[in-house]
Amino acid sequence: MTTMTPPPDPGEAAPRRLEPQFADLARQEHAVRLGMWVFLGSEVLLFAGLFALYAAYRTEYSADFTAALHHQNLLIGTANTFVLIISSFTVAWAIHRLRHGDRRACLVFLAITMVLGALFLAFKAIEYGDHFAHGVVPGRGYASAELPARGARVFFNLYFLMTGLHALHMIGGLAVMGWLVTRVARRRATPAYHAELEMGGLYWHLVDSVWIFLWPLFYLTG
Amino acid sequence: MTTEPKTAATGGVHYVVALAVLLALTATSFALSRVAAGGASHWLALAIAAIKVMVVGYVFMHLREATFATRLVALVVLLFIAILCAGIVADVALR
Repeated sequence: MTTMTPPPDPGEAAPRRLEPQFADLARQEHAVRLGMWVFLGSEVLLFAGLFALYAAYRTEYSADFTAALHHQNLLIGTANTFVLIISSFTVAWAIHRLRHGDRRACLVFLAITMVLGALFLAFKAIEYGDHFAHGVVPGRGYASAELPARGARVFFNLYFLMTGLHALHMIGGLAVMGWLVTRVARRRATPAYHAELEMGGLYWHLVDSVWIFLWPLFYLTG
Repeated sequence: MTTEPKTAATGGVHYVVALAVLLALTATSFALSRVAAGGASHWLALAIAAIKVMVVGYVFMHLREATFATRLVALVVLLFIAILCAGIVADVALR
């Protein structure tokens, strides 16, 4: 994409990037942020459909859902909730530090965020493995002796669908974080202009927000 | 981004406060799930989750410094979700 390149600020390796369709960086920033929020809105509506499906089936199979919830690994689910909340803070703090010109701290907190994201996925893999060992798998292969009811099967299908989709978003978020680390390290994202960091942070927070609702629905409300 | 946000002058204390609130709400939600059961506790857990998401949105996602248009997008999304969930639950419950 063609860019107009104003003279770089002293101390910045990368110039500010003003796209030709914008009169100034403030309007560009507003458009970027608004566009990202519209994208986040579409992502939320994707999950909203699944949450609505959960609500409908929970109303229909209330007793089976409650029984299935008692077989969930509350320790791992809760640990993952704390992990993601802390990771949301580390992303926000990384952006905050870059705004203040502290590139090194920004990189450190982005790296911590990636470690926390990987930890979340590792916990999830352990949990899935435990489910599989007990015959709790998605689809026709479901063979749980403890929870044979149709409602329990529906519960775990929804569980794998929603947490699996969330995990895919986590993997995407990790890829974005890795890319942001390179942008900051190469001084392409600067204290004066770091739209990509802000947008990557918004995406990470969205993934965290989805989990904030998945946790009570699949672990707490038994 | 292009302009120094008004939050920068505060030294980021609001981020730390938000983290503390989120961790406290998570612990509260967990504790309540252990001592209470039934319909009321379900709604309480979801209400706490909604508060947590609002804290994330307002502080971490910078809605506190966003323009009206950006806030409007977030509000419309929440409204659509509420309509969707209420409609489906009402349909199933009233059959």
